[in-house]
Amino acid sequence: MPSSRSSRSRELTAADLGALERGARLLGSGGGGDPALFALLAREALGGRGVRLVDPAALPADGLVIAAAMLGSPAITAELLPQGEEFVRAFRGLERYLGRRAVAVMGLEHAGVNAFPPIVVAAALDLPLLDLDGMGRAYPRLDHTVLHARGAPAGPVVHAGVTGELVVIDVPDAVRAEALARASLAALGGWSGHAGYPVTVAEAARCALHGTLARALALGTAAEGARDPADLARRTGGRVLGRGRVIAVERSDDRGPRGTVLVDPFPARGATLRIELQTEYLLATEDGRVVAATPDPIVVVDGHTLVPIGCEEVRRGNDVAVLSLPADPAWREPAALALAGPEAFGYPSG
Amino acid sequence: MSEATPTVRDLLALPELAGARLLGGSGGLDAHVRAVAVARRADAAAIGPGAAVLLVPPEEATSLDADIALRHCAERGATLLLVPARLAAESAARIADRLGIPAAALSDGDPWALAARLDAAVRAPRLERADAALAAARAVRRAQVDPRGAVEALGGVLRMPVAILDAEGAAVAGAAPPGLPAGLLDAAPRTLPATDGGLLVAAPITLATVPEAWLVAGPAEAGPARTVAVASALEIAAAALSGTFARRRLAVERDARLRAVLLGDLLTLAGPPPPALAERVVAAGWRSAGWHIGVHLTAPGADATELGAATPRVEALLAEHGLDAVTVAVGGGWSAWVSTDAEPDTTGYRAVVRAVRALVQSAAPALVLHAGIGAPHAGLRGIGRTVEEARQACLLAGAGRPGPAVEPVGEHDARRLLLGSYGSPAFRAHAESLLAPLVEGRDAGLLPTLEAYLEHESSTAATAAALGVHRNTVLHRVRRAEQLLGVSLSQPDERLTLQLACRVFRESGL
Repeated sequence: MPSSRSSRSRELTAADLGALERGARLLGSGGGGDPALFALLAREALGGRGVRLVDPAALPADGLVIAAAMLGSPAITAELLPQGEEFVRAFRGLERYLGRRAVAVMGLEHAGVNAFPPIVVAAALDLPLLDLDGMGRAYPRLDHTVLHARGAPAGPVVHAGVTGELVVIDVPDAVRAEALARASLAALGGWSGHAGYPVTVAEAARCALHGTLARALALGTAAEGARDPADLARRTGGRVLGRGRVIAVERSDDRGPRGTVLVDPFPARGATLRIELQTEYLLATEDGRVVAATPDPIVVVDGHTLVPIGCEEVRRGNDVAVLSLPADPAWREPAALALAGPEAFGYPSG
Repeated sequence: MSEATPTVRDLLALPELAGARLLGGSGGLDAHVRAVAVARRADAAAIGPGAAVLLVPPEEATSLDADIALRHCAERGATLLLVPARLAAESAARIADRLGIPAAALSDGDPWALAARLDAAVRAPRLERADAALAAARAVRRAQVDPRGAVEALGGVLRMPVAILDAEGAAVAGAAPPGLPAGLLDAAPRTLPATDGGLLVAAPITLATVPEAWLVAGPAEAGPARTVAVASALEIAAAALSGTFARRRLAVERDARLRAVLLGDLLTLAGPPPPALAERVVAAGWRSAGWHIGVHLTAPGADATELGAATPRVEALLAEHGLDAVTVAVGGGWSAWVSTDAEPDTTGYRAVVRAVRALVQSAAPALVLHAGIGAPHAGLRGIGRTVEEARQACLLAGAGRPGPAVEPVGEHDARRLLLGSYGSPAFRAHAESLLAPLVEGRDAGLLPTLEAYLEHESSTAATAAALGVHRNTVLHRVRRAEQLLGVSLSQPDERLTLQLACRVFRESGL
């Protein structure tokens, strides 16, 4: 995996967007939304130019960095189409509220649709893009970040709705920021442009995950042309948990969206693979034994096309392969695991 | 007592688990259960080898907990997992099947009470067994006089169907279980799988040396502990039932033996019966007065055992055909007789013959009978005579005929033919008016002389000898009677009419 620290600065151009989309999809772990539309937004924002991917060392340590993202339901963005300016408006809004200009943009969630808003903002404001984010994969909430685990404040946050309004939530704590942001989302139309985690370059360098955009890019590049699930796993550094047919998908809305997918091995015989999902695939078990678990991304792909199948799309009868990818090592820190380990999502530790 | 260590099957047969639904893992139903463990979530420490694990999960637990608990069971050698129904899912069923660990979904109920109950069943299977045996003994004692009541009570105690079967497997009390496997009723006590699934347990009811009936429980799901408990209960109940049957059999046999001896005495009776014999007849409930028609039945080809077994059938057949007969089982067959107050006429006798013929026909082919019917005879000695005639007729009936046969004697007896007509009330009235001049006249000797004359073929000499009077006295009295009656004894019709009138007059006591 290439590390952004080794390359002090490089250009990210439209030519990278295809690979980034593929990688972002894999790191979505079944959630994070369909990035195709957002990749188009980024392509439009780039307009033939590129954005500079920079290392924190290349920036002043006390400079302001803001994370750009979409907050809310990715599915709704298909109906209330994003213009791109929502992310810029939120970013500018937070700068205005703080009375400071940011020296760079960083990511909140370099996976799914949220791999792209930082590119849109960086291109629109001609800011350098720091290859840092809070998750390195998809998670549903603002507090599901290593930034939060390591003590970086999530707020103030600013949300820009498609209706043109701005919502400022001035609270440092990620859990409260999440709760207040969710409460306003419905009034904003289901999703909003988000600017948050306003931190210094030094704080970002200390608290965020490094090189996650580059990793998404590298995953997408490596995945292209994979012949079969085993080949895909080899290319992406993951492992195949199972290959077979989905024999049951049970869903409930008990304490949020929850579901269970049963995959019966095929053509090989063996144990049924069970996958627990919420907005992402979070846990995989076989004969009651945990074989993969959050924070490691679990990816369900079509057994033939190898295209990832999201939690909302998986259906009984799908021919699938199930893979797990290694999470960023930072997620193994106790404070991070407490935020996003299986038990944080209500699963027994096994 | 290793044989009584309960298996998963035993536990699932407990009434407390009647509502449990087996999800999978039926391959492990015969594994032994040595302990009961209660686990909350991934509480693997509570699970030990041979444990029946009762999962009592927190509210947030899901069906995933059941999967994980099953894996813990497999790793730690537990043999049964019980989960609340809300955690039961297809995934657990598949894992249970793969790991061979039975998993069952519980209906609602207090899991702690259930755990205590399971613990008792696991720790003290011998107590279970004693409880079942005790309950069975009580049930049979309560219903001792009635085998049907006994099997019902036992079925309730053992929570499975119970029946008493004869040695051929036919139901004596209760319903014969479906899928009765060959060999179940061979050695005792015995447990075999029913051909349609489930287990059958049999215990013999032995009166002498070989089992004459079987107490059979099942089919039902049962592991070794429950099987042993059921078998123990059946053995005790069978012993109690053996006593009941033996007492009944003894009374019947003693009675039959006495009756055969009494009939033998009647058959060899010469002369008036001694008072002791008459007393025994009364004690046997036989009536000596009146007229008796003997019927003797034999079952050619049947051995002594079969004859003994057929007695109730023969008695039932006689009753079915309207023959209210005293029946005595004797060597090689049955002697019976029907009794009437008045001497039976031809119609009455023929009715008996028809009834016996119908009886013999209806008994075949299951029971091939030969029947002989005696002529009607009166009084205590008449019983012996008609039965003896019936026996002789029966010998004739059987001669050279393999199938059912009936041979009556005395059907063509003229007396019965005549009785049929002159016994009618109309003829009696006619006889009364015809003979009135002689009855109302002064000469009391006229009627007896006339009757004796007619009975002695109109011979004055024979009549005189019979009456001990002079021949001329006879002649004179006959002439006088002719004059009083206004008839001529030279006319055959008038002579016959007068003779019949005399008989009716005498026999009806006019």
